[in-house]
Amino acid sequence: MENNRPNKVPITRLTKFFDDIDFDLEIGFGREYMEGDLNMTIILYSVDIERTDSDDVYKEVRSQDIRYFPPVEIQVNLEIAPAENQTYNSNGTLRYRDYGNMTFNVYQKQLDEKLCEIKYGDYIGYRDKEDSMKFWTVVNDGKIFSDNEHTVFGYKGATRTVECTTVDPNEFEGI
Amino acid sequence: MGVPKNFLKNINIKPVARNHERREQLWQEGMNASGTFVPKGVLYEDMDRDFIKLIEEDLVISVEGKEVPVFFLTMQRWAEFARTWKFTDKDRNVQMPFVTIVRNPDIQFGTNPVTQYTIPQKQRFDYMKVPNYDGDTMGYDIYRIPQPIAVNLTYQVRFFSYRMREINKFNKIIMQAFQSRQKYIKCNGHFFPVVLESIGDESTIDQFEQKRFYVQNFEMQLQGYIMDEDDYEVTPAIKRVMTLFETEPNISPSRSQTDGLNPEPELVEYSSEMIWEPGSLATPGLNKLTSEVIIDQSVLFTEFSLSNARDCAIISDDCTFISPLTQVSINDGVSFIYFNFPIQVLPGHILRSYLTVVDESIDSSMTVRGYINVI
Repeated sequence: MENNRPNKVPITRLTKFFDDIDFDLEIGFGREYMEGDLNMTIILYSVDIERTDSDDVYKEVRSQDIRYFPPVEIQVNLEIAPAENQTYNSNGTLRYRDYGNMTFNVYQKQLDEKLCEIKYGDYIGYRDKEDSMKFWTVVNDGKIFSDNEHTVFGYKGATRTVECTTVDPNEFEGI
Repeated sequence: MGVPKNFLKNINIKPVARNHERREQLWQEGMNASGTFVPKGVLYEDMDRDFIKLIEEDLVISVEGKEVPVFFLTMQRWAEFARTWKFTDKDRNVQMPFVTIVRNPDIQFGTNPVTQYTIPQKQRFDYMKVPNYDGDTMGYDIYRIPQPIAVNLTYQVRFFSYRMREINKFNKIIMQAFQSRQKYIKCNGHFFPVVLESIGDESTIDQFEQKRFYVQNFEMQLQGYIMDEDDYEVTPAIKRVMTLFETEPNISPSRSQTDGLNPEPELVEYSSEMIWEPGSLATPGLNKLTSEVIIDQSVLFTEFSLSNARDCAIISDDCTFISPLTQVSINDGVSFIYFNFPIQVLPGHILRSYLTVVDESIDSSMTVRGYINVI
């Protein structure tokens, strides 16, 4: 009989003074701060690749043709870079000023609990004002988070850092 | 069922003018464009306007049922905003796709060989003669214009989009339009070629963690010329004028005068004879005085003949006296003045002459001939 479940091997490093229970406790502290105290919420629009009817050749779609899973609210710790004054033309004409890139940290455990996954190209909505929702697209999903910065004392990866850049309404405009 | 070979499937009910007829049509179009007898002037703003029209009307594409906006951009910031605000999102950023046109500010002398460095110093040339009437006289005005100055205007036409399919669509339209390298625009009745110089890519695909979009740059060159209406000249030409003037009827024409002296052939001949008879009066100059003749017509006397008298126009060894000496009186014989032929006389004038007689025993005479000439 074939076993499709991956093998799981207990992590025994730091075992003399840190184990899985401590890990969960640390994450609990962190989530209490991030999700309880900060409560900065973003909305994840994870694109349903199968249901999105894309162009046969280029796999491009119009904004209204993008199909996504039910949006999920995620509490994160985020930072939005300052907006830059830029121009479309190289001679300095046709100025535009868009939001800077968004970078946020999120506990993987929260994503696991909400049964969602952030992948490259997904859209992120953030309500920066009462009447305004701005959208970003994921350019770095932070799926590899075993580096020191994202682990708890080097025990195991706990948080992900996701980087996003802005999208125009022409590309995605949410609901 | 087959169709015969020479069967016309489409009949052109509006025949297209060709050759001379077409040239006249073009000239008429130019006249209509300017509303005058001279071609309408062309300046940079006219060419810019019609180039924008070319992009907006002939090379336009639509995406998702909307026409892609075209922006002609200059340096003034508020002007840029004034052009684009209708197509912006809530953050006041222009939404793709769109087309921008930027003209290089440095306009160069033209490379169109038709009008290149051929006529120096703004020499003006007759363009046409226009009849006019000022209430009294008919005449012409000559319209003169200088040779146009060839110029090249370079435009950067950029197409911005997020999607390859839209880039393809615009590129295809450009390729089809410039299949023969150039496309003509009609600017104030003048035809200028627009040449597609190059196609470039300025897409921001390499900005991995920034907003990415396609930018395709089409460099086009308008090979036009400028004609400043201030350089046109209108000068009066031929006028038909009637001039009236009075003349003194007794003024003798000079010897050198040749025009106007030959009477018309249909004029009536007139002659008169002045006679000297033996024993008649002699003059102080030893010549013989003829009888006086009163003229009863207005006559132009042109020649004379002598009978029994010498013809000495100048004094020489053979001619010690000038003969004949002719005199005329215009005041009923009160005084006489000498004259030479031809002479115009009026009724009442008196002629007489002095002759050197050859044979003093017989009559001598001088006959003057001319034509009746009513003044």
